[in-house]
Amino acid sequence: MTRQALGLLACLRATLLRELQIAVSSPGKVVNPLMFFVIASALFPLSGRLDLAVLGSIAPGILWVTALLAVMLSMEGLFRSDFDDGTLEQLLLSPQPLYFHLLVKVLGHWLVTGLPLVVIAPLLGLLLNLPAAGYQPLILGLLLGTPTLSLVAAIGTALTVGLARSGLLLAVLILPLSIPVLVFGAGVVDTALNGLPVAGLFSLLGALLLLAASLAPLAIAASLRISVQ
Amino acid sequence: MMQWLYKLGSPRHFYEMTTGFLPWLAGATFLLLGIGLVWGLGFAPPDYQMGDNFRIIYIHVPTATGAIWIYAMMAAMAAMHLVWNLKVADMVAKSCGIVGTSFCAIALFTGAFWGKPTWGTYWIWDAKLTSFLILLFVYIGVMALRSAFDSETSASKAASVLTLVGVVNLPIIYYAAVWWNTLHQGPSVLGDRDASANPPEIWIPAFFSGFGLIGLLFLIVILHTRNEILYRERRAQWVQELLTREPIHA
Amino acid sequence: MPEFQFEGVADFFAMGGHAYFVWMSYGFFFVVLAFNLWLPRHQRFRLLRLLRARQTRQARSESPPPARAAAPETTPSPGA
Repeated sequence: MTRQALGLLACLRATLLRELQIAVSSPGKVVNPLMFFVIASALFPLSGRLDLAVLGSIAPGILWVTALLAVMLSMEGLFRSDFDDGTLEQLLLSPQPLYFHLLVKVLGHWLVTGLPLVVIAPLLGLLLNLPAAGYQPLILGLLLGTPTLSLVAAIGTALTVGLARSGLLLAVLILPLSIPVLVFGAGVVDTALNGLPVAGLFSLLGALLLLAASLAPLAIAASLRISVQ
Repeated sequence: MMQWLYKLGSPRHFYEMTTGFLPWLAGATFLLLGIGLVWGLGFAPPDYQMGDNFRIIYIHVPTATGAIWIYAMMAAMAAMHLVWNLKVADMVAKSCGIVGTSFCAIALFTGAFWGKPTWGTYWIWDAKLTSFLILLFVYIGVMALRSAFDSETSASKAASVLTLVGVVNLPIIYYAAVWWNTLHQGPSVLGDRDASANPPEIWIPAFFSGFGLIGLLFLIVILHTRNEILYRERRAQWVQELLTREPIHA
Repeated sequence: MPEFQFEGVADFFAMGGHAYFVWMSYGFFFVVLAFNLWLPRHQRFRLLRLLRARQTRQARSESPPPARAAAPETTPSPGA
């Protein structure tokens, strides 16, 4: 392996560790999206006198929509502090390829914000009376889908990082673009509940993840360059 | 030809070339649109299934098709802006935003009012309707992002990036909606009839209104682009000279 | 030559019982497109007025001092 490649690997490892360390030092970053996920999901059963069977049938949709919102809200701070203290400019000037750096940064962020959502989702499934056949596709679907959502949301975050108040704008930009993941993710659970094969849908979710992982870093890099100007 | 395209890339030439071209475009547009709409509303024979309600398609189909092509044009302009830093391309892309939103809104609205007597409901979550709704959201998102920036260059670049992200995403959204629709089996009154079964008396007016609306969308885009050129080039000598020449009510 | 499909104006506006849907659609269409045609014209007038005001302001500030004495008189009042 050449020295350059080793340098890149070390750099990526440092980036990943840094994201994890930030999460450890400020646990709110991990806990807040989770709490949002739990509370927002709990609002649905309280919003009407729903039949348990009806609740179970709309549970996949509720869980996916709230997970999508939780991911989006957690991403808002992804580049914020780096932008404020100038780290981002250093990053853009660094000789290491930005593409892999951003990919790993989003991965690190997903590990501390997205993965906990996947872990807690079955518990919320219980609260929402999700039928037994739905749990496995829910977890696997979220596992494949939330990284895609993180990558798409990161584009929006990168575009709006230079703006003072970006929360609602971020939602307007990101939510329409996240719809395919939502449709296939909630569709996987729905299809499984109807006893139909879901392998094809998992492949589609995987394909979306690969597409997002290969193209999103380019868009994120371009957006960051614009924001830092 | 190449020379002509190259010249269009310069704001000044774009402005000057469209000055002479605009009255012709406007004339042709209103002539075609007038013929198409009068013919479609009054003279085309009523459809054997839908009666006179089908007359909505003379504005519904062209605006829906237009909404898609305006986005394609906006994306092409965004790419040209990002790759070659072509200022005019960005100005055209910016002008496409409001026209695309309008066309998309008209297509959705007329579709709903066509659907009520035909399908019995204003709205179904059919693949086409869903993806047009999302196209509308994407248009609004691009315009919202552009207006959020103070700096003109940042706004242009950011909107261009988002436009291109949207162009990758829109086909996926459409196929997701198609798949989702087959799962849920919406009201299947849709029964797409063979388009060639329609007699010429029905589709010839559609031809007129279609070309009229293409003309109209270019007309509006060019008008917006010319304003944008005047604003961004306001310090240039030729704009200063134009200001002293041009009557205020031109 | 295509012939008029309706018997008189009232029949035309009735649209074979679909008047509400047809005229709502065409109404929305015309309102939105009229706005789309009005907007760039309106913006153009505003822009030209703004740029011309800026031009005269600049010309005044660049002209020699005697002109400045006359400046207060030529400045249009905000209401004008």
